[in-house]
Amino acid sequence: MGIMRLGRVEARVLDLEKSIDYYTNVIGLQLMARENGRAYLKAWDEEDHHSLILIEADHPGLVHMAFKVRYEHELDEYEKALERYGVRVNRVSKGTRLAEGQAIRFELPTGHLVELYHEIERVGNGLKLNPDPYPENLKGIAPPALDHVLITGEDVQGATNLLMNVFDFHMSERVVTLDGEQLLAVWLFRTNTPHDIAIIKGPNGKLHHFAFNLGGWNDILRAADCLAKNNVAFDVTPTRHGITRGTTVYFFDPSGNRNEVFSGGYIPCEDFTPVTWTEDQLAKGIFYHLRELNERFTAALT
Amino acid sequence: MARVYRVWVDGEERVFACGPDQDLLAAAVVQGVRSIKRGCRGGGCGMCKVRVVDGTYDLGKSSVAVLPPAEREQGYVLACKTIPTSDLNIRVTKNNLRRRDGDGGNSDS
Repeated sequence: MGIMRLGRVEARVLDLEKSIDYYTNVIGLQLMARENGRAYLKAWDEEDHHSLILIEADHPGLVHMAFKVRYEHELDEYEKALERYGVRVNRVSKGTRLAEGQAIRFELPTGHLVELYHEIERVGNGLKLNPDPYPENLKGIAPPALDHVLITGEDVQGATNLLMNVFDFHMSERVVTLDGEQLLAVWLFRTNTPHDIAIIKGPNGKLHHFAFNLGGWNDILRAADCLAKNNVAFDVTPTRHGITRGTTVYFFDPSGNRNEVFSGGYIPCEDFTPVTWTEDQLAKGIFYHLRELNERFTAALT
Repeated sequence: MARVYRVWVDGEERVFACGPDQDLLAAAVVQGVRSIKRGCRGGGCGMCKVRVVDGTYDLGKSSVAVLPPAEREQGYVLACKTIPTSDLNIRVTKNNLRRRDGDGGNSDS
């Protein structure tokens, strides 16, 4: 019941052709369709038609993120729940974008557009009958799936409250001020991964990154090799997060949207007790080995 | 024929070379010029914004959210998207982050 996962991210890019080349040949997603100036892509293990939409614009960033719910009728229920919570909801009609059914759309207190949907064309991963572990002819990094999104905004507490109270997101980790009074960052999950969405204090409406999942540390290293080979701009080379315990590489797409490949971390259940970090230990939380925050990591946003 | 241009960093005792088809930021980074901040290198985040005081250049696709048209007219560029077409004199802007944070977030979308 409820939200199953982060289903899709729609990102603005400065040059659609360059971005399609990057997301298909370097990241290794599959280009599913192009229509009306949008490109629709999916990772190889995903069964829905797309998880990433690219649209050309004069500035990069996030158009919207969308969570997939288990049942269509839940859209009505969440629409009512959001309105009871005091949030205005709009309907996005079927056919607004390719292969998608209707969605409900609202704005987080941090200024980000969020959609909930159930219906989307199912194309499958081709690995359901006596399958091999992965398909042939994968390109680039070839992550199996989209993993999570990290956004910035002023009202971290407000967005967190909404997501936890209306959608039953669970908290895996948080960063608080030394006095414990203020929430500076939060990691929330509906799946059993450490985060489906994370929010850090910063300018409203901005994208920090969206991330793809990888199987393990060897895949993280190989991903970094692939990025270097293709002259992709790194933000952070392979390392471990204190927060989530995951391993990571951060880098930038051709328009400056930050991407991450993320692997591992613990497997939280609904009764998980959140991990708390105090603001003075943030660097250990983000970059467990180096324990230094660089300005780029906090200031380069789209 | 493409040639190597020289880039003066205003206020610093520093000149660096920028090769043919090399952007300002890439040239600065490989020659150890650290005063230009390195961000996304994709024309998106605005961290590498500098002002070209003198010289000509080609500016590639850059986000209008961090480099609005009015600033472009005043010679502001994103170093990661700037290819010199002459020797350049540039000035590193100290306040580009503050300006960027004040752009009103998502209101521009």
